[in-house]
Amino acid sequence: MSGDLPERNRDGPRGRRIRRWIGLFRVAIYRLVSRLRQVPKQTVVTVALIAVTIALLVIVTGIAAGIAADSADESEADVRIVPVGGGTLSSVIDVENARLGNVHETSATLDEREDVASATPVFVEALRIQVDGSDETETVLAMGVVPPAEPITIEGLSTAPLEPGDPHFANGTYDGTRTGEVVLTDEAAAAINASEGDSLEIGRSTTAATLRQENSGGSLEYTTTAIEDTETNSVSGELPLVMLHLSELQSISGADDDDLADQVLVKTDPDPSTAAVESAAADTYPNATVQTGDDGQVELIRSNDFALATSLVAMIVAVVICSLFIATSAALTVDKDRQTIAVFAAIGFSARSRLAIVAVTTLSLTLAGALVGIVLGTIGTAVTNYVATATVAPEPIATLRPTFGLYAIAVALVAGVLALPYPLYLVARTNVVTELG
Amino acid sequence: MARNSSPTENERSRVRPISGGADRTMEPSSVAVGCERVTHEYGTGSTVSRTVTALRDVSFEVATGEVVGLVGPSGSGKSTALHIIGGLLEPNNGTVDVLGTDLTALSGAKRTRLRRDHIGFVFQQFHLLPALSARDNVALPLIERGVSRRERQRRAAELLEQVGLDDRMDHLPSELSGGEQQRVAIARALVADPEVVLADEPTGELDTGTGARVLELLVDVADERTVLIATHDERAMAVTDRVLRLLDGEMRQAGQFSDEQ
Repeated sequence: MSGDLPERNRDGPRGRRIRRWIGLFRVAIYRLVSRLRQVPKQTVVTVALIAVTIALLVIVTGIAAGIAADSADESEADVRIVPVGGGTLSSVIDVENARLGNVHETSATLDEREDVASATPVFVEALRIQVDGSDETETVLAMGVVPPAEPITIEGLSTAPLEPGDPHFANGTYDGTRTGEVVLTDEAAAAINASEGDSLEIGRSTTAATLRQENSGGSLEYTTTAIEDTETNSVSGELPLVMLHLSELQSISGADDDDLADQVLVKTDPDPSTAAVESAAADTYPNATVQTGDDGQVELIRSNDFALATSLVAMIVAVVICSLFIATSAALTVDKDRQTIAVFAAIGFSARSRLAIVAVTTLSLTLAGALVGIVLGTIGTAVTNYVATATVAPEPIATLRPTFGLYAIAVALVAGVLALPYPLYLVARTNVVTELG
Repeated sequence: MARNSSPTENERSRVRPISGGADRTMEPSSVAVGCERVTHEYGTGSTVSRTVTALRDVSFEVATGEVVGLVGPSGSGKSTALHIIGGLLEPNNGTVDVLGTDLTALSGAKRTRLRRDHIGFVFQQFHLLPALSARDNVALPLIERGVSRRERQRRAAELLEQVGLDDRMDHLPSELSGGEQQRVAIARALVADPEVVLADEPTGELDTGTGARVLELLVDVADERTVLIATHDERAMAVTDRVLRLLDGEMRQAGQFSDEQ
């Protein structure tokens, strides 16, 4: 007896294999529909549990992104250049973030591009400030910028009241004219009882006395150029925010040696496409991170430890819970479907085909749960924001991006794949003879 | 009713039942199925101390185109024999030859492939998929062979016409009678054009009259194919060319149905 029986269609053309897989996919979908008819409650419960888990993932990730956005509002720039490991305008004043150097020259280079409307470095430093002659000092977060000719808004503060350019920088000599201009938020103004036109004393020292001593030479004179009514700002957290020229802030804080800044904000013009500018920015700062409006949210989460931890925990919990739900449900279904699986074996479906059918069915169910979860998550995010703004928060605390949908689907599918071994194991050990009687 | 297209005298002499198998000679060109000293025991796993011998030293041959009945009471080993011939079970001992291929030398995957391409199964409980129409149930085996959907539908419709269900193609199994469901199962077993058809108690779920008609239909539609029918219904054996009797896992008696009358 020999084993050389011809196997019909075994190695047919590629089209035959494709037709086979399409056919198997159809069988898997049939199995899903059949399951919905046979055990509707179990199927609906499985989809619902996956959906709730994914919805929670979307909501928690949205809140994490919201927390991260509290540290930086990337919507004011089309492209942001941030140092590796930095990337936020952190209000944590006792931690030295990585910073960019030589920022005047590089931002000027970017500014000269036709497709760039403006490029300004942003340097943030905590300072003490008081109205000249007053004893009321306040720690504020000072934001140093190079105001472009066409005013822009950074963290809710318009650069319009500031003289365009950065005259004190003077090609890196830092001996140009000090404008002494400071824009206060209404919060900062209220804290030190300042009005427009008031003289201000600004310094790094922590007490009013030493501040006055520092400024006793009279060379550092600042004037309240404008007080801006900003509802909120995300950069300073609980500290009031003020804005002044970059080089003047660098001089105060000692960052003038290397012309440092926390990031460079670039607005593109007129084409909203950021690809070319992104490329130019990457060439300018090869060791920095270039973020665009598209990926900024993810980068923000990454750069914020708390947000990152929150979203990671949410993801791990979602994967684990989803995997358990899916594995349990799929195993129950396989157990109920043993006869069908045995029939597939008896009529010549290979082990791989049988496993593929169960895998596709399981992943389809997971996908259905994920899609419902995204819808629920979207609704949940809206409800969360509504409740938050109606009670404790001045603004929405959770954000929602289209990428969250893809993220949620990816997490659900990962959970589905992790859940597959158990039902597949049950399929593989199904005793065909026993099931067929 | 004896089958019209019974083997010729010459063929019959070659497919004689074999009691011991030691002096047996096979001619692969004419033998579709051959079992030689096949033994199979259940419960031989390490956790089970007691074993049941389903088949003991069973040998027989079936010629190409022959319709053979495998008769015996429940537990006699008929279904086990069919499952072994169909490659669903591996015997503990002996060799099984199907269409010139030694099944015992094949891996599980190769046995599945052989089943896909050359063997059709008909079960006692039909085992149709409940959410698929009759036509889709019949077309199911063609999926694994990569046949296009249109062709699957065409061939399924053709087979359903042959079994007299051309007006029931789009009905679900739950909308069909037992006899109709078994006809759908027969069509499914034949749709991939197998050389060997194995029917395990195909009349077990049917009343006598319906069962007889289904068997006639099976043999009729199977045409020149080799058919093995396992049954304990002696009357149904009228459609076969020859009967093999099993009792307690051993081959007891064999011969042409007409010889037994």
